[in-house]
Amino acid sequence: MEISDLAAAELTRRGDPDAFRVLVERHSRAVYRLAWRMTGNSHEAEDIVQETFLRAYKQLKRFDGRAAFGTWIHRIAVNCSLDLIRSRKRRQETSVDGPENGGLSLPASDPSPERSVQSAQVRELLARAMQELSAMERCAFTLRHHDGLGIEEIGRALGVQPNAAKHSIFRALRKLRRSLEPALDSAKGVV
Amino acid sequence: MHPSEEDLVMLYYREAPEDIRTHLESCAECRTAYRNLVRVLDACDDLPVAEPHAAFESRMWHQIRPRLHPPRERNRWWVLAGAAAMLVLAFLAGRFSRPSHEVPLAVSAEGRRRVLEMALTDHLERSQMVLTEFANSPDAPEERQRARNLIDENRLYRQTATDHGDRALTQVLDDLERVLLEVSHGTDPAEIKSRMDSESLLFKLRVLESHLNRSEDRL
Repeated sequence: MEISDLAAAELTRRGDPDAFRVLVERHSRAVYRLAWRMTGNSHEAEDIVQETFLRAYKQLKRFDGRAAFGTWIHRIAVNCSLDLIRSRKRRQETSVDGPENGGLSLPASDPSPERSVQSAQVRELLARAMQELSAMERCAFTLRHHDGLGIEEIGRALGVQPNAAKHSIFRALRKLRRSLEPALDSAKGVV
Repeated sequence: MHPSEEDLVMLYYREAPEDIRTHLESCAECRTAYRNLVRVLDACDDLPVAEPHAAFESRMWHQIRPRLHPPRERNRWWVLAGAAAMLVLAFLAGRFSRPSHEVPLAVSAEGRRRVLEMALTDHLERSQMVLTEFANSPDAPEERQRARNLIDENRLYRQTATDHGDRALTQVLDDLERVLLEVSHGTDPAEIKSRMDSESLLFKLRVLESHLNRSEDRL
């Protein structure tokens, strides 16, 4: 029988760091995906995974099981991602390495090779357009679109007023539309 | 009146008032605008994510594991922190009461430095925990008390850093002290968070802690 997240957390709290392994192995991939979407960079995403679990370990006594461990760690991961993005901005690193096409998994269920090529083009455009968003726009959009956070919650996570969070999402979307709509229009003609 | 693009975005995310949807039912122009928007937003679901390889979880664990200190070790750290605080007090007392060439501490300079670094690392770690918790739950009264408990200790470290002419460390500890004071005094959380962000305080603390950890690992 598999040990539950709560039980693993409790064992860790009682002094068995190896029980923490269950939590790392169960949740690190989801944390990685979130971090990758926020940063677009696999090295930074791995750093965020490590930092997230180290912070979680230090704060584990505050985890009371009222929320699922996945939800709790997700929130820590968002904060770690934001910290890293802010520090990156401060270091004035103007760009991160581009989307890593080697790791992309393309669905094989498209009805025709032409359609498949079009979908791949749209995804590539999307990845590129996401890289061109500002850190705030990318985070706000990712948290809304992929992680399903409400505007108020995004404002809190980003440390800005809800209205500012909302406008970051709108700006992001306008930029994404400019990049994607021409490709989507041409894809519509291909069956 | 037709809804704006922003209204349509909020409709997609189910955060728009119901009358927007009602309007769409009777307005072909807005339905088309909404369909175009949905097409783009649906395409965003396909944002490619670089999947890590199969052994990722295990690799992460092996990188994280050596950095976990079980509670037993942490208890020892508290003892060390206390010892370090005593050393700092002794050091400061010496600075203020005798000419510097007469300070007769029995501990070697290297040993004193190591203990101080370990205690400072622990202090930084606890400060980060308090500030992170405060950022997540600004209304929790226990964080105010924890912040209060850290202030005196922080003052000692800051004073020691100043005396040693370590301006970078003094600056970080100075920023930290100001924020701890604000947390303990119940200043507006938004203001504190904004200051923490603008000063990149948590990041600076982490960098400093990581630097000290590396220094300890070398010893």
